[in-house]
Amino acid sequence: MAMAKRYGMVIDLGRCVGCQTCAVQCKLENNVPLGLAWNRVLTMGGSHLDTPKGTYPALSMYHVPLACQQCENPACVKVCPVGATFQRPDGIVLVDWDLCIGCRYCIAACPYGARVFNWGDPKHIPDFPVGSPDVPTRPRGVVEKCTFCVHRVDKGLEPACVASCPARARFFGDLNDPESQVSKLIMEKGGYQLLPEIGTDPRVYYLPARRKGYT
Amino acid sequence: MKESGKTEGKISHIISLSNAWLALLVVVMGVGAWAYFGFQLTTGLIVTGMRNIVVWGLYIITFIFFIGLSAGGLIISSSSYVFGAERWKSISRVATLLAFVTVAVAAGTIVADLGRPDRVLNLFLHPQLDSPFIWDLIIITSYLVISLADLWFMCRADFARKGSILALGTKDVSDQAVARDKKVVKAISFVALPTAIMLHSVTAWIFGLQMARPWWNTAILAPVFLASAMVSGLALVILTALIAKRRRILDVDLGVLSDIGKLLAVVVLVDFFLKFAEILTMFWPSAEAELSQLFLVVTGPFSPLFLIEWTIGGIVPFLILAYPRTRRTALGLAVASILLIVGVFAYRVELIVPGFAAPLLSLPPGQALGQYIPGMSSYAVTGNYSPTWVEYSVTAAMIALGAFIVTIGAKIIPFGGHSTTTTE
Repeated sequence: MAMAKRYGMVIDLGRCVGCQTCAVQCKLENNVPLGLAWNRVLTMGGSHLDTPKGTYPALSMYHVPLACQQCENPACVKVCPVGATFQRPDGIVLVDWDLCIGCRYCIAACPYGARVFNWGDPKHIPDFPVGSPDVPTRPRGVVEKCTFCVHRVDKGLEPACVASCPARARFFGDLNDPESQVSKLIMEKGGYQLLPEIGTDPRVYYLPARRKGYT
Repeated sequence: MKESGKTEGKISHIISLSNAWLALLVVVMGVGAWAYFGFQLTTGLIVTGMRNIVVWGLYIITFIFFIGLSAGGLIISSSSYVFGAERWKSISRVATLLAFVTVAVAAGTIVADLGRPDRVLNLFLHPQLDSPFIWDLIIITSYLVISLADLWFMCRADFARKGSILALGTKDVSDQAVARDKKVVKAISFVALPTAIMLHSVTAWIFGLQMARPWWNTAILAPVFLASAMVSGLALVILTALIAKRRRILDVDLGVLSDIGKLLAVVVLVDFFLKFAEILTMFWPSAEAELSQLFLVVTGPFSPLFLIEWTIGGIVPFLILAYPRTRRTALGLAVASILLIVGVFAYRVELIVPGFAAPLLSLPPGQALGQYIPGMSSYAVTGNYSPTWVEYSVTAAMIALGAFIVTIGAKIIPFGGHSTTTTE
């Protein structure tokens, strides 16, 4: 019997150009309200967006797209007092917007800053939902975060950020299958997790940005 | 009917006694209720100063502060039975009332902090037992029940003698019945003391178990919470007892309070020893991540709080309590108690806000804060927090509610003062 699927993502930092397409696509697809973001493209370099560190010519910079790390051992699930944050059998961590009491304990527990809160009424410009009709509308006062585009994955599609990446830096697949593209990339190119010392065991892996002078 | 009429008459008499104080409390509660129901409940937590990096603020600070304030109560009343500290019995009723009220206020601030208070029942309908939040809910509920039962059994005979409805229909004031009440109180004390210790530990574990927050993630947090809770709790009991003594509703020897002051001095030492041990452990290895977190508090933007905690909230009151000549005066005890309570409050702020302010992954442009203001970035790398008027008002109202219950309680509950003949 084949093992159950365990979805994971690989982001090749050597291919990422920091164009923010995945961040914008995520925001559209999931109809993420104004002032909130599920997916951010961070700059590893200077102290501002898209700035390098060092002095010319010894400059270095690369980008780190960051969203929910879909941890194998999610701190957020453990702290949620009402079970509103839960993990599906395929590993995807979700928030039930009908159950969440808005205590924000999960935000305190998340080491990656992946979770955001609806402090007021969710607002959009234009003032109507523009994203996938399969994404439910969130109420005020609940926590939200990346779902691995579960509404797409359940239809056999890739998450929106993966499908839209113009640099083809993102890969999605089954980590339980050693022959899958993601498993092979992690094995062959030295995929690593963020903050491994925390012990959350993320299912988002990064491939080192070797070609930009970083290891 | 006759009995309740009598109580009503008594209550109106009480209100006329200290109506200015009670009126003030009612006004504060009114403003808080207006801020909560008129603003926070209708527009959401956007009216607070909290945003996505610092997601907990004054409400949670007040929560842990008030949980701490409760420590004096059951510890004093239980110690008098468990360890036979007979002299402390004279203030055990005040202490237990304070324990109940402070924990009730703490529970209230938690509800004020929720984004969806309408779903608060989910905590009981869908409890998720891995969550320290649920552990705390269980221990808070137990503590409220225990302290209320403790208080009632202490006062039952006095209520029954006066024919008060608070005797809940019991009329037996024979020596046998009084002895049975005492036995029950003693039995409760043996449960109450470990419950009080667990209350502070579990509240510490809400924070201390979080790997994502190095500032909180230390095994010493529970002992520190216990020690700092006892500091603020004992200080509150001393302060309230002094006020009740001055208003002639509590007959307590200044020597008893001075003895508690001596114990308090020892607890202050233990508290600061534990905190020092943690600071040294963070400092000595010179690891960059830990140092930057530590310096954020010790020398950085939060250093004024740190200074208050250690000097006027630590060394100064300790010296006042350590010198017998100052400890044995009502003024010395009162000043030391107030300073210690201020110091512990500073510690609570210092724990919560810096724990959030510098996230583990702080790369530019940072985190989306949760509010879009045209012309301004919605992102920030590090967190900022200052409470809004809504948070101040709601918190003040919670505290006023607590003070209101204590004030009314002080008139209804026979503390064992000059006007009653109850103390043994």
